[in-house]
Amino acid sequence: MKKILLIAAVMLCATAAYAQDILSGGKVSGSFQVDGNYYWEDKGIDITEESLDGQLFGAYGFGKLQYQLGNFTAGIRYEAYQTTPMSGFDARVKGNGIANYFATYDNGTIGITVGDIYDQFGNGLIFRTYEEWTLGYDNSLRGVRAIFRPCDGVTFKGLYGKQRYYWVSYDEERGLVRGIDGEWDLNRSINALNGAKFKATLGASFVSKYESEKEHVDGDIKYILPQNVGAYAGRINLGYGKIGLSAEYARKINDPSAFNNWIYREGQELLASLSYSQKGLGMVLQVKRVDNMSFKSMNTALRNDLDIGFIPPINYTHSHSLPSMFSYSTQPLGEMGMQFQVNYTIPKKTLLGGKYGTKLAFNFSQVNDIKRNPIKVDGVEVPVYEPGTEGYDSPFFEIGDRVFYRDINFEIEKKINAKWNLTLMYINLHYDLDKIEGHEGAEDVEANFAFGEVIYKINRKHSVRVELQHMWDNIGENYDIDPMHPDFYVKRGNWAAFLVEYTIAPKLFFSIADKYNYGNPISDNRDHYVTGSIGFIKDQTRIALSGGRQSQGLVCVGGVCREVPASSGVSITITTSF
Amino acid sequence: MKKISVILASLALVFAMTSCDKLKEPYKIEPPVIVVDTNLVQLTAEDTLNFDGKIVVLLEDYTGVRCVNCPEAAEIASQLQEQNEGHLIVLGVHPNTAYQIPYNDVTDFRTEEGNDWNNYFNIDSYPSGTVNRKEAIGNPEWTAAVNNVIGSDAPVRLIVKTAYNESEREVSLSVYSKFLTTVESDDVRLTLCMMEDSIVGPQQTTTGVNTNYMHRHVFRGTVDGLTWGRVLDINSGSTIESGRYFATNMKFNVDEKYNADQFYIVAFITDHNTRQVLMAAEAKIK
Repeated sequence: MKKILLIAAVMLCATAAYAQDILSGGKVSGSFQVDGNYYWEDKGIDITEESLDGQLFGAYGFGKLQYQLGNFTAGIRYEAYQTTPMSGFDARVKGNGIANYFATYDNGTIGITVGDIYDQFGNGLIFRTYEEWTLGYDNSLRGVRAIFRPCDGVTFKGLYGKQRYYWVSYDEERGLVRGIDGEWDLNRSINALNGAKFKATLGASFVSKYESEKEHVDGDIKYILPQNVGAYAGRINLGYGKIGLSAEYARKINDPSAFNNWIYREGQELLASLSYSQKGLGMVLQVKRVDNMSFKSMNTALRNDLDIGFIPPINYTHSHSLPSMFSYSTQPLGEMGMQFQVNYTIPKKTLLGGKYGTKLAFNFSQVNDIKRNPIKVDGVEVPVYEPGTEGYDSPFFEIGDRVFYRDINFEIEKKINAKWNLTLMYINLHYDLDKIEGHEGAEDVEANFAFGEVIYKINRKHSVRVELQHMWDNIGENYDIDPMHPDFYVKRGNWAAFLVEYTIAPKLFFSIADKYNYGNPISDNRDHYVTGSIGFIKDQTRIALSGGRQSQGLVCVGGVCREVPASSGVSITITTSF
Repeated sequence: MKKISVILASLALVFAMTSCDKLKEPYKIEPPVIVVDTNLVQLTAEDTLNFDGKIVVLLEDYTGVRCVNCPEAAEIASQLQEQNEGHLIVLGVHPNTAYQIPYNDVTDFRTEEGNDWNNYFNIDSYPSGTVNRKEAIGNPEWTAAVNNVIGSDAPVRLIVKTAYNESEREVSLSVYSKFLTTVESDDVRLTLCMMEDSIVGPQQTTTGVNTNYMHRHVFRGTVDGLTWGRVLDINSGSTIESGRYFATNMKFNVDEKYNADQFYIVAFITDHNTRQVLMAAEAKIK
């Protein structure tokens, strides 16, 4: 593995040096990241020789280079993933090679890209390709994209290609994706609206996938498959002074797949948001409805792969260690959600605002299932999700009874004086462990969290940050557990956590943290997860070294999650860019 | 610029309209055959003793009633079958192009499955053929391609057994597959075809339309409606080990329009990933 990384680094450096030499005048930029993990046995949290499977060392690295000369840009990314059972990555990411490359010419009116394309139409409901290193996720489109801007404010895009599917050859079976998008920014293209208080952007897109298979055979039943599946979306963004309104609606025709149990129902999705902002006050209300919108370029794909569409999450993203163990993962088959967020700053020099003002934030978000009613086929009622039928009927405005996720949180941030800064937060969380993590039959999590953080600046360079957290779970030490399903209780029960961090700005920090699951209903699970970290930053380079235990949890980015098992060991992350 | 925008919008509209296949019910086809677990027609000791361990090859003759050179190709196929008796099966496939437009009801030999196979192998000139579905080749190459595989060891012992109920026109079918070598594939399938031999009807020839032409080995569709066959073992991993044994049993009725006296079942096992045929077998229903 080290050898491979070394060769990769040398190759990339050589390419860069060569490029700089022959194309002087251009600009070369790039970034590198190497993550290394060394795991060891830890019987306290059930990490045995067997679970490590002899694979003690995991390493993941990438190098990204970009060259730009005038209207021309080209880039390349090399990836190497040496995964282990402990890393929690999908085993298919394992491998190394040039994962992506592209070349673009864009003169402002016409832009052409060949190679691997990352792009999105509107909010990405029917098309979004992106790469997320921490998830091991990459659904880039290898093909061609053309952009045409006939006049200021008007953009047309057209693209086609095949999506990346881990390291599987692009010649192998999966669908072609074709899409077009148009966007019109009225304020830029109509002179009378230039600089006007009223702002408007309109957009529309159409995406189609083509798969060659005409049928899916399951035993004796043959499902007739549409070879071309189209999806279309329209969007509008309006603004007037402090008020903003945006909405996007998408629809997809029959797209039977393994993911939706081979039903032929059309999919639809609505995402809308209303916002208001002025000095010291910001409010946003978002609503979302998703119905049968899994859109993948291979109808047998079942996991986080080959997604053409993207479902934006509308939940608060927790960064603190205890609540972040319960992150929400979006549900493409169906969900109805809303979020309301208010940020208010109590002005300076008032009784509650004090010398520096006081920041308050309130967030409420809830996601329910959609309502599904059984349908009749030839006069006979069939079960919901019966394959080879429309699947179910779902009234647009009716909310399903099942609550997947609810988060109510309130935060106060107060700078007390030049040296002290205080943050307090309260969170009330409902988390459907069955739906989100697939523990079928597990009881929902109903938890309350308290969080407090104090930052003390010793002097201009040195500061200390102390964080305390507690989680009260509805399942306690005396809970009558289901002995057949110990996996239901891995992170249940009360937790307490602390973190102390010492920073010597701008180069160095040390921290020590502990999470203690003292109230777990299974006494063997009442473990401490102690970690120590050191970080070093110089210019564009950051090195972080940490060691200790990691608890089982989900890593989620943008509502897409991967599960990370509990582990014990040391890890190092080096990132640099130029 | 306006013009360009109009053109772009029109192109977008055309693209949108042609890139959606909105299907209508029924979305699924449940085949008219009855598949059962019990063996309908027993395998006898004689069947296994008759098996010589050598491969049985499938030659698919992509042909058409309006194809002038097709009779010559059919002749080559029949000769090859005679020369390799018991080790070569011929299937005359009539896809759906201008060369297969029937002269009358009798000569409508077109099948949906045959057309799908034709498209998969990118066949657009006739006669063409495949030997064990390796690739599409012209009839001058058939002899060499057949000789190339004939005589090699069979990877599977494939035996087709049939019983026919005259009054009901019902066929009971049992297909026994025993793997003699380990096959490295996660998708091994069994395709069951209906074949009607010796049908008299018009055919284009080099000397004009011969109304008394004998159409041989006419593919009449798959028994179970599955174009690419049924998965032999849905629980299999990436291999099917040597020694594995499968029995496939079903019942179906022979359509009135077919001649049951000249009706055959052609079975073959394919690696669906490559589409190549591993072994073929046939049996007359009467």
